Amino acid sequence: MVSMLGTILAGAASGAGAADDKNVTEANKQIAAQNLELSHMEVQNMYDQAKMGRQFAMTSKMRSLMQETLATDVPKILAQQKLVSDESQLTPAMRKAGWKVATLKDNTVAAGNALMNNGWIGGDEILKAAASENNSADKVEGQLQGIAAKNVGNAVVAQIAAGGQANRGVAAAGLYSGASIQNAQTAAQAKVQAAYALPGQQPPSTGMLGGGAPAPSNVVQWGSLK
Amino acid sequence: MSNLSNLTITEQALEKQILPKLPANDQTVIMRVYHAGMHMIFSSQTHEQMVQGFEQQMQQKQDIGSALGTDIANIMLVLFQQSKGTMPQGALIPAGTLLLAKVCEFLNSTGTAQVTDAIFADATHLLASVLQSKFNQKFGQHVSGQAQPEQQSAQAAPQPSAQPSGMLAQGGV
Repeated sequence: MVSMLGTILAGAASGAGAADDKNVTEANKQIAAQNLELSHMEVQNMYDQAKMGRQFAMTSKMRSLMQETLATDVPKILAQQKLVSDESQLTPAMRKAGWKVATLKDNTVAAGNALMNNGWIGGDEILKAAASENNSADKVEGQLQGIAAKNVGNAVVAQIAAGGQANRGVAAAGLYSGASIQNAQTAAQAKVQAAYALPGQQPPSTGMLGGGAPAPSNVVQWGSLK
Repeated sequence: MSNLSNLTITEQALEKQILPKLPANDQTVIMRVYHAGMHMIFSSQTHEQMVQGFEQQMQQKQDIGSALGTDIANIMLVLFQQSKGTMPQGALIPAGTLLLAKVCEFLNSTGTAQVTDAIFADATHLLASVLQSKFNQKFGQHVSGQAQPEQQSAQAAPQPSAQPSGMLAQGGV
């Protein structure tokens, strides 16, 4: 990029006659503007790449966490109906006791319920799919992938991930109301405002655009730019 | 229009609000500082560490607003230090505010955190307070509620916190 700019700059300088200072100045201005623009594009590209990478990583993490939820809870839900997800799990004794292999619909319903019980967003979509006659394992897998992406940023799921499998039920129950998040946020906000509010100054309620209190006169002003 | 339960403030909107009111040269300086901050946070070498540091803070149950405000202030101070004091002090708060808005957009769009306008307001308040207290001792005394003897000139380059608590905590810079 630097060499490209150098070429443009050299071209602009050589192409403009000595008598045509105005054009040289204009060319320089354009190049300077282009340079700023490129720099802006560079950082924007860097930002976009970081964002895409992060989104991909977060979705993969969610899919892996979802797999844990399903692996733990689906067999339990199926067992309540004397069902197993795979034929290999069925022993002769179980057959005799009336156990059966779950159908795709049974598995899908169990997956939907497992997700909903644990605070995942989109468990109901799986349940709807289960009711569809032309559902397939591929379609369910596709939906699970979509649900993983949708749950990136889900506070309940994040708490489950942080707390580990043992605390899943507690975390889901405690956070579903959102009360603990709200309380923590309110307390933190009060703390920050109390610590940093100057005498007689109201903390800004909506940030810079909200027209908060004017800056104290003794602080660094933008006018100090050179 | 601000919204306390969502994030409506964007870096682009702030640029439109802040820059046109300033002389062209000041705009250039602010954007240069902002770009340097963007490089620091989002380069492929550092962005993963930045996000991990922030996640750690959330797990330690610190509030997002103060974490963001302090971290961006520290990044601004590191940039100022690296410039050996040549960076205009007045550029730090506007450039830091743009950077803060961009980081908030990033955290929301990647699902790393849920930042709202209210949290952004807290973070901005803290960012400005930290920077002002570093450069202006009287302001710092107001904030801390302590009257301390003057030990450092307002023009001297301030040191970033010894242990930045979040984005810089992983030693990414």
